[in-house]
This record gives sequence, structure tokens and C-alpha cells, in this order.
Amino acid sequence: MKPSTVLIVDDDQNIRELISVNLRSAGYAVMVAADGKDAMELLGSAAVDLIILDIMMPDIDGWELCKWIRDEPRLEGVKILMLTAKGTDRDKLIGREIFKADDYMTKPFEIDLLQQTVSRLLNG
Amino acid sequence: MKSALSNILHSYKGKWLIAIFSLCLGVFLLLIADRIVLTRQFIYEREIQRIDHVGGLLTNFIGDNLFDNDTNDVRKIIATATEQPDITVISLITPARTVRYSSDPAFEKKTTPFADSKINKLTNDIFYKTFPIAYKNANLGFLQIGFSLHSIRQHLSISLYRVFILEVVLFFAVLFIAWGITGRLLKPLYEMKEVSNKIAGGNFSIRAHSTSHDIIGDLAAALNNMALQLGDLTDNMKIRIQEATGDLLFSNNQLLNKSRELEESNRKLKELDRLKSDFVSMVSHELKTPLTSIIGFSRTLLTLDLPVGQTRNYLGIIESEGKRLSGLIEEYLDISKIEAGEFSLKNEPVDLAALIREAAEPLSLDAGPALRVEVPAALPPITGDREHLKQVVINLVDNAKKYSPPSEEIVISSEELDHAVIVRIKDNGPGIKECDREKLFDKFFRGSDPVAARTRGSGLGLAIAKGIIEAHGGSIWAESVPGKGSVFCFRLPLSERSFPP
Repeated sequence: MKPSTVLIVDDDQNIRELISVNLRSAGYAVMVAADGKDAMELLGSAAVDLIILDIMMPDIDGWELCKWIRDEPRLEGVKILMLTAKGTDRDKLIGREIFKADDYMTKPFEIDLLQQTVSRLLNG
Repeated sequence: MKSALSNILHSYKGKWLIAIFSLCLGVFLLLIADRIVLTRQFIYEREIQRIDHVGGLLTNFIGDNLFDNDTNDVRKIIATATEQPDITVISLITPARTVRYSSDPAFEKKTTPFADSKINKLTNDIFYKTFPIAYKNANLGFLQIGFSLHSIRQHLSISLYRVFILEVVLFFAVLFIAWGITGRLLKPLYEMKEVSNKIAGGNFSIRAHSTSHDIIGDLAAALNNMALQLGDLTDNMKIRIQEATGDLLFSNNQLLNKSRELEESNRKLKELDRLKSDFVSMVSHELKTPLTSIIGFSRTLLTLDLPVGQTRNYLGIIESEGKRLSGLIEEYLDISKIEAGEFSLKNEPVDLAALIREAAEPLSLDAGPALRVEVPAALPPITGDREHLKQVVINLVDNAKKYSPPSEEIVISSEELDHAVIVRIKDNGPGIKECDREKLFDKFFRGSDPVAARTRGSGLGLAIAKGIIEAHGGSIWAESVPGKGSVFCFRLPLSERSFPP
């Protein structure tokens, strides 16, 4: 069975490395993008199953990118996990209800919990 | 028309005229009545005298002739007498009271009422008076003479007519004079009316000119006094109003100023509040990002079996993120101390030239724009906190590097001026936007430029630098032309100053 592909969009190199090393070891195919523009380019060619999305990024922020993904018919069914330091209930609500993210996690996050969430989102 | 008449009748002058008119009318009616009575009496008495006189004469003549029995002469006398004016008929009456002879044949042979008619009550025009004819004590009969009252009445009516005309003329003359007199009497009142109208209109300098020593004079004086007092009162009020208006304007201005100050401080508070909430979200992000790495990589190292190189790499990340976290916490602590006024500085001699070189050296090794230090070998000594001053220089150079294109040079220079040292750090970046310049050194403020958006910072660096420099009794500022780079400068006073511990 072809492993699920996860795209990590975060402007912090350390976070990208942290998530990717853990997801790779769990058997996922991992792609990384440092900003919204990179992510859009990548999504134009590659097929992904899940996008882990940081909200606070320069230029195109996570909200914007999330909206763009949801408006793109080709990317229908792609799961989105918002990952951010913005931890208020309001932000969670905006993430889930307005930008139609599938889940929402706040930094700092537990690696184990992230793994569980990714697994849950990908296996229905 | 009716109302005009009513106006006249109800006016003061009208009442005066009606009063005078009534008085005159009464007096003149009395006068006319008096005249009528007097004239009648006078004329009648005169006529009666004349009648008696004529009667007496005729009686004497006729008596003589009768005694002589000369009837012809008697007839002649009677005929002649009858031709006299006012005598209409003369009858000779026998002692037996029959008419013996009459100038009017209708009376002859008739028995006549032998009586005097009363002149006043006469209804016809003829007054009969009977005179006894006595001659030497013999009764010879009577002579009855009829006098015409026509002329008497004519006299009377002419006289009355004249009186009436005179009275009417006098009446109108009196009315005319009364009109004039009331006009003259009322003139000061009219003038006072005009004056009071003008006073009511606001002209308090006008005065009524009445000098008469009576109620009108008193009234005019009272009016003038009122105008004077009103004028004084109004002037006083005007002054008060002007004063009050001035006061009000002043208070209003003060209030406006206060309200502006309040608005300004409110605006500042809101701005600060916004900055604070931005800060909280920034701090949480800034603190959480290194924490995420530290916790995440520690967990990764504990759970995954990784090659040695990767393990070392991750340990390096954990260390540097730990340091970053520590630096951030240090900054937040610094700004809180500066805020609370609890910033304690060391009080040591500082060689500023050496300090600048020391701070610049590691920075010049980094990639990016070149760093040129144009500081003399020695600068006059200052007193202060070496580490914190170094922190300021590093912060300013760091900022300059962030904003400078890699190909451009950053220049650090210094000079001694007015018992102080001025240090300048010049970059060739985009410069500072006009809108950002004012808040540049405010805590939590981050510029509205792409560099600020791209890089992560607490927005505290310049605020801390400002706090440090000001705690040294110095000042910090930025000079910039947008598009042509910026120069960040600070000025520190020379050594004689010592700092509170």
C-alpha cells in the first residue's frame, strides 16, 4: 500500500524537521514548504493527503492558504491540520468553522499527540 | 372709520376735548339762556316805558281836547299817533266802557274788554294798554292803545341770533384753542412716549427735554433717570457678559485642551493595549516556537533511534532554541524592569571605543552586509554599565544588518561633542517610514515594513536600548530619509556623571 503523503507548511525550519523526522519514522511520505507560496507551488504538482499548516507565516498566512486549499476543487478531500501558537478558543473556532480545517493543534505540541491526530485524520 | 373715532374718543386728547367740549357747551347754554331772559326783560321793560311815555303824552293831549270837546282835534291826534311806528290802533273809550272812537273802524261801537293785556303772555302781535283820561279830577274815559310787538320781537330775535352766532363762534374758538392747548400740554407726553420707545429699542443715551416743575417734569426726570440706570445696568451687564463669555471661552478652551489630552492619552492607551495584546500573542508565539523545538526534539531523541550525526544536530537545535528562549525571557525581564523603574546599572568606567569594536567583531563575521568601524582608537572615558551598553550596540547593528542589502556597508562612527560621545550606526536600507518614526522606540512596536513582517522579533530591542541609554543620562534617536537608509544615534555624557546604584 502506498504510504500517505503529508505536507508540512511552517516557516520555522526546526519545526519542519521535527515533524518530518517523526512522521517519516512512522511510515509517511513527507514534503515540506517554508511558506505559503512554496506550498501552493508544491500542491500544483504533487498529490497530498494531509497538510499540516502553521498559521503565523509571513506574506501568505495559514488562514489564507487554508482558504485557498478549500477553494481549489482539485484538492477536495485533502485533510488540513492547523498547527499554531495561537491557542485561544476563538482561533480554534475560526480555524474549524470558517476556514474548514479538519483539526487544530496548538504549539507546543506533544509529538505523540500529533502522531495520533495525523493517523486519525488519514484513516478516517 | 368707527375705530378711528373710537381711538380719538379713547385717546387722552379726545377725553380732554370731550371734557372741554361738554364744559363749554354747558356754559354756553347757560349763557344763552341767561341772555334770552335778560334781553327779553330788558327789551320789554324799555318798551313798556316807551308805551307809558307815549300813552301819558297822548292822554294829556287828548284829555285837553276832550275837556274842550274838540273831537276833531282828538281824531287828528289819534290819526297822527296811529301813524307812529309800532302803534297799530288807538281807541277812545267812554267812561261807560264803550268804544267812542277808534282808529280802526272795526273796534267802533264795540264793547272792548277793558283790561291791559299782559305783555309776556301775549299770543297775538298786539299789546293793548288802557290809560285813564283824567282832566282836573274829571273822569273823561279811557284811551286804549294797541302797540305792535313785531319790531320788539324782531329786535329780540336779532339779538338772540347775534348771541347765538357769537356763542357758536366762541365755542369753536374755545375748541380750537383747547385743541391747541391739549396738543401743547400733551407734547411733552408724546415726546416721552418717543423717548421711552427709543429706550425700549436700546438707545439709553436719549433724554426727554422737559423742564416744567410739575408732574410731567417729574415724569420726564424719572424717565431720564430710568434711561440712565438702564444704560448703566446694560453696560454693566455687557461687561459681565463679556467677562463671562471670556471665562466661558477660556474654560471651553481648557476643556477642549483637556478633552484633546484625554483623547490623546486614550488613543495612546488603546494603542498600548493593542500593542500589548499583539505582544502577548507575539510572546506566546515567540516563546512557544523554541519550546516546541526543545520539547519535540527531546522527545524525538528519546523515542527514535537516530544516527549520531542527526542526534548531535538535534541536540544543537535544542541548545540554540534554549538560548533563544533564554534571550527572549531576558528581554522581557529587561523591559519590565525599565517599565517599573527598577533597572539597575553597574557604575563602572567604560572604554566606549573598545566596547564598540568588541560588539562589532562577532557580528562582522556573520554573512550579510559588511561592517566598517570608524571609531578612534580611544574615546573619552564614560561611566556606565558595560554589558548593557554593548547590548545596545549589538541590537542597533543587528537591526542595521536586518535592513541592509547584503552588498551594502554598515558604518559605525563616533565623535566627541559637548561633553558627550555620540555613536552613529548607518545603514543603506530602505529607511524608516514617516508613519513609523514616532513610535520607533515604543515598546512592542514593530515596523510596518516587509523586513519586520519577515523576521521575528519581540518589538522590544529599541525600547530596551532607549531605556538603557536614558538610564545613562543619554539620548537615542534615528535619522532617516526613506529610500536612503537610516542612521541610529545615541549620545552618552562624559565621565563626571555618576549613576545611582
